Amino acid sequence: MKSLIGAALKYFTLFILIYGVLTAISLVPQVGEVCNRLYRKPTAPLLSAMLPKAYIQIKGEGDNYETLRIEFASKAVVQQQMAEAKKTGQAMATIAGTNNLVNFQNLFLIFFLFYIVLVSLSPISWKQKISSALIGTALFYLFTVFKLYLILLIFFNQPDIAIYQTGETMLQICKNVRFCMTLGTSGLLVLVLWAVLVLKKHNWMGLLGEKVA
Amino acid sequence: MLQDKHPILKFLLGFIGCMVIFYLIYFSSFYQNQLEKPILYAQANIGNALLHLLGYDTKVVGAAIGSNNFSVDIQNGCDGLEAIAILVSGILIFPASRRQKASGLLWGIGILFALNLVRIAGLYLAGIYFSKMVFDVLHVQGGFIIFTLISVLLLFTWMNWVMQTPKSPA
Repeated sequence: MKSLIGAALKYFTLFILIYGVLTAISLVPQVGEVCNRLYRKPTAPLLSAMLPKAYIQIKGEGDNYETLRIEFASKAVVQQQMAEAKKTGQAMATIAGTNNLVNFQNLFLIFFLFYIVLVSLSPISWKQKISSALIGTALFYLFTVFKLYLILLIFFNQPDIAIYQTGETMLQICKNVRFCMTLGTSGLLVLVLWAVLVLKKHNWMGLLGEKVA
Repeated sequence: MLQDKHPILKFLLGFIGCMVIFYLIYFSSFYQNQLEKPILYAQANIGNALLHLLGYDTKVVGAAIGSNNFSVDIQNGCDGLEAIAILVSGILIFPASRRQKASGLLWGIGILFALNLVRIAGLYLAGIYFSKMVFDVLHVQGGFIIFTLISVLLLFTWMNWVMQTPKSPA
C-alpha cells in the first residue's frame, strides 16, 4: 500500500506541476486571446447554423480574455429595420442587438487543460496520446457548443427577446438539460472521455506506475 | 470481471449508471429543498471551526463564512459531493470483497470530506491574503479540478490495492 500511495503522490505532484504551468500560461493575456479566438472562430458559424433565426457573433473580453461576449439579433427584426431604412432613404440602419456573457475558462479552457494533462500522464504511446487528445478535445468542444446552443435557445425564448418560440415541453427539457450541465458534469465528461479513449484492460494499472503487461 | 471481454467498458457503464443516479438525486427538488442547505450549513460550521483553530475570528451566516474583511459563501457544487460520488461509484462498481469496498469507502470519503473542509478554509484565507484573480484560480482550477483529480487518484490507488491483495480462498 505504501508504494501505491507513493506512486499516487508522484502522479499528483506531476499533475499539479503540468496543470499549474499550463494554467499560468493560459492566464497570459496574449495566450488567452489566442485560445479565445481559436474557440470563437468555428463556434460562431456552428451556432449560427444551429440557430438560423438569429445573427450571432462572438467576441473575446476580459483582462485575460476569459469571457465570450455572444452578440445576437433577430434576423426578422434586422430585415425589417433594413427595409425601413431603405424606405426612408437612409444609407445605414441602426440594428438593436443584445448580448450574453459566458465564462470561457469555466466553459472550455480549464477542462481542456485538465483533459490534456490527464492524457499526457497516461501510460500510452505518444502517438496514442496525440490521437486521444485530438478526439477527446473535439468531443468535449462539441459538448460545449451544445451547451452554448442551449443557453442561447433558452435566452432566445425569453418574452423580451422572442427570436424563438419553442414548444413548452421542449423548452422545459432544454432548461432541465442545461441545468444539469454544471462544472461537475463537465468534469465528469472529461473523466469519461479520458477513460474511454485511454484506459484499456492492459494499461489501467500503469497509471500509478505499475508495469504494463 | 477483469477476465471478461470488455471489463473497462463494463466498469465504465456501471460507473456512469451510478453517477446518473447520483445526479438524479443531486439535482432533484427533494435534495435541493430538504438536504442541500443542512449539508452546506454543516460544512460552513465545520470550516468555521477549523478557521477558529487557526486563530481567525470568523462567523457563520447560513452557508457563508466571513469576517469584516472577506466572506466565502459555500454553494451547491462547492460541497465536494460530486468528487465523493466519483469515488463511491467507482468503488461500488469495481469487483472487490465487501470488506475491501467498506475500507475504501470509509477512507476515501473521510479523506475527501476532510480535504474539502481544508479547501473551504483555504479559500477564505486566499480571499483575505490574495487578489480576486488568485482566489478565482484557486476556486475553480485549484479547487474543483484538483479535488476531482484527488478523488480519481484515491479510486485508482484503491483499485490497484485490491488487485494486488491476494484473494482469500472461497
